[in-house]
Amino acid sequence: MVRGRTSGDEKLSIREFLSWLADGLRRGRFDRRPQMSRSLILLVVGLVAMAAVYLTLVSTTASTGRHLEELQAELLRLQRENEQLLVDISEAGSVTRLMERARQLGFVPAEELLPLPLPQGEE
Amino acid sequence: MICAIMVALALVIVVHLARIQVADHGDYVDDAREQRVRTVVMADAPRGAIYDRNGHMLAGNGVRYAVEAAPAYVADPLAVAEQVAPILERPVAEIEALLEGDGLWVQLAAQVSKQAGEQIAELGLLGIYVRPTWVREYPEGDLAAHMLGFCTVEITGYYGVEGYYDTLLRPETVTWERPVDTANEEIPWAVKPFVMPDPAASLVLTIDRTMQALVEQELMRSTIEFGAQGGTIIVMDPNTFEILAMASLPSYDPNHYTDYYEWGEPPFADPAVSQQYEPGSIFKLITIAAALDSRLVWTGSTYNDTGRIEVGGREIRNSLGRVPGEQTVADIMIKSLNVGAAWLSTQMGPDVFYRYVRAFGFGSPTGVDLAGEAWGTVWLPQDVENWHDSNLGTNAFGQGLAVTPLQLATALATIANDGVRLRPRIVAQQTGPDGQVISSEPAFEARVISPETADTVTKLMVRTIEESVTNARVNGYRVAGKTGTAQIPVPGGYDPSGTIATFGGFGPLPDPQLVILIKLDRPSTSEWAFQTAATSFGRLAEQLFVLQGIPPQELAIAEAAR
Repeated sequence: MVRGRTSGDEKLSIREFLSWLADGLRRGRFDRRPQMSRSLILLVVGLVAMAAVYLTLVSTTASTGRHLEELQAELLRLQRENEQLLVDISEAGSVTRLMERARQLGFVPAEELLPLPLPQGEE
Repeated sequence: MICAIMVALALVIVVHLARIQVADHGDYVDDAREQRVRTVVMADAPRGAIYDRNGHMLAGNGVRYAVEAAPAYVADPLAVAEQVAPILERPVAEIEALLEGDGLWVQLAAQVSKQAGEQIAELGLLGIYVRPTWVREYPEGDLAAHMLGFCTVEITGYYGVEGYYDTLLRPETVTWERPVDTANEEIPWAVKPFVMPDPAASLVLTIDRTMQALVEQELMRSTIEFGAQGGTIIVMDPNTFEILAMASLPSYDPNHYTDYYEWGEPPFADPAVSQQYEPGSIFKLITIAAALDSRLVWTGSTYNDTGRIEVGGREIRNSLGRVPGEQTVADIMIKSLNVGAAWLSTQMGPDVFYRYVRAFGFGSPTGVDLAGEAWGTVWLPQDVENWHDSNLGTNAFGQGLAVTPLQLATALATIANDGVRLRPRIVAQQTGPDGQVISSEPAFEARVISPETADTVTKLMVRTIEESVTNARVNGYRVAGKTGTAQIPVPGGYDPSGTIATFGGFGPLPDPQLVILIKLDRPSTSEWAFQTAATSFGRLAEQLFVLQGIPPQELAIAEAAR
């Protein structure tokens, strides 16, 4: 389709392609109805742009979704960690542990309780 | 002919198409859906926590890991087994055998610790998967085990509060149906919705863990000291009927409930609500309250106690063969006279007597929010198959009927609450998934006796302790109480080898704050409740009054005078 080029392996740069396209359009080499060609090319460019936008959006959505997924997983991990810590804290402060610690510190249960009435104003 | 065959074939095809597209339409849609989507658990919320009245956690959620494998992806089973087995504390050969199996998916360990799970996950082995799971944990160990119940590996609650409120405590599991390709792999551009599961409801109980610990200590001490096989203690607030502490022996640790399956009968059911027994003389409280409230007698009314009375063809005698002669109604309580109690019930007649028995809540569940509550057994004259005329006499002193310890504690609380019976309760507050807090309010059940009758019965109970059951006295406080020494029914009569000793009371008077019921099963040091359960009552009441910050009588009077 591109005349003047002999090797199919050679790749056109975008700049060369655009320059060739502009030159062709100017000289009316593609069609006898240049207006129609222009419309067709504009349509193609529009479609390509839309596809690019769509792909960008899909890609962004997918990567954002993945990030959200990771955040949710992290949130759940922290929630589990938090629950476990709550249990660990409660275990550390359980009645059995407190009594054990009190015994270690030399406290003993009171055998006889003697209430002391305080005079007024000395509470 | 050919045309007919063609038409017939066409008809067969049409019928077949109609069957596929109309009749079996739903099945094919389901099949297609099954191939197209896969349901995965996205988030598993923890089960609702349980706290005591002061916010101390009684039941929470820990994290464990399930270790699973897809053998097809494990290239070198031996090498993987050598790395995983030491962490799982399992033989290498066992793990290797699992990894070499034909299964698509095998579980290497159902629940390993957080550390072990994280260690395996960090190895990053292909085909080995580590999945976090919840496990129910009880930070206080065996404290309040019967009241709490336990949760299985499947996070299903049984017994106690866990069983009763299982539906409420259950967490919401969020699942998502994600589209998959032909290899059952997730399609990458399908973004998962961000959904966090609603937390389950949490519960705040009426119990006080410190009081519970003291009660459990006293129960343990009493069973050892009096050689009992088990027992129950209930502490209630007579103003609200909130259960402040409740313990039974033998007990268990809900963290390790599977260890108890080896027992012939695992001790999971709460004897305080599920086990019924003949209460014995403590039931005279009900008989005397009924007789006084129905205005049949007053406390000074007399009768001649000859030591025996015949009711429905059965002879009833006083314990120890006593023949006390002329006695008052007050003496029936203070001296615990069976003949006097039977005399009162026969004077009332079955209609009046059983009306009061039922009004006190016997013969039907109290309605407490705990799983497995028993009804108790009270036969009425209309229960023709089970009724015997002698029941009217024996029931008066607690024989021939069965009650649960909680029913007895509720009856005591009714007397302490000026004759009004409320519904006993264990949950003070629920916090719903939306954070809404619902507080439970006292629920009125019945006006059983008048305030005057309640006051009179209370005074008789005080005299019982001061004149007869001195072991139950509490220094510095006035308390009311009554003993019950019950024989244990066996087929054909009563077991001569043991008794059930009960003591129920409340105090301090005049404004009782605590109802305490103590029941000891088959104490061996003495068969009599006044020598066993009454002693436990005195000791426990003193500790609990101090814990509650209730000053001794003299101090209270001095404070009031200020």
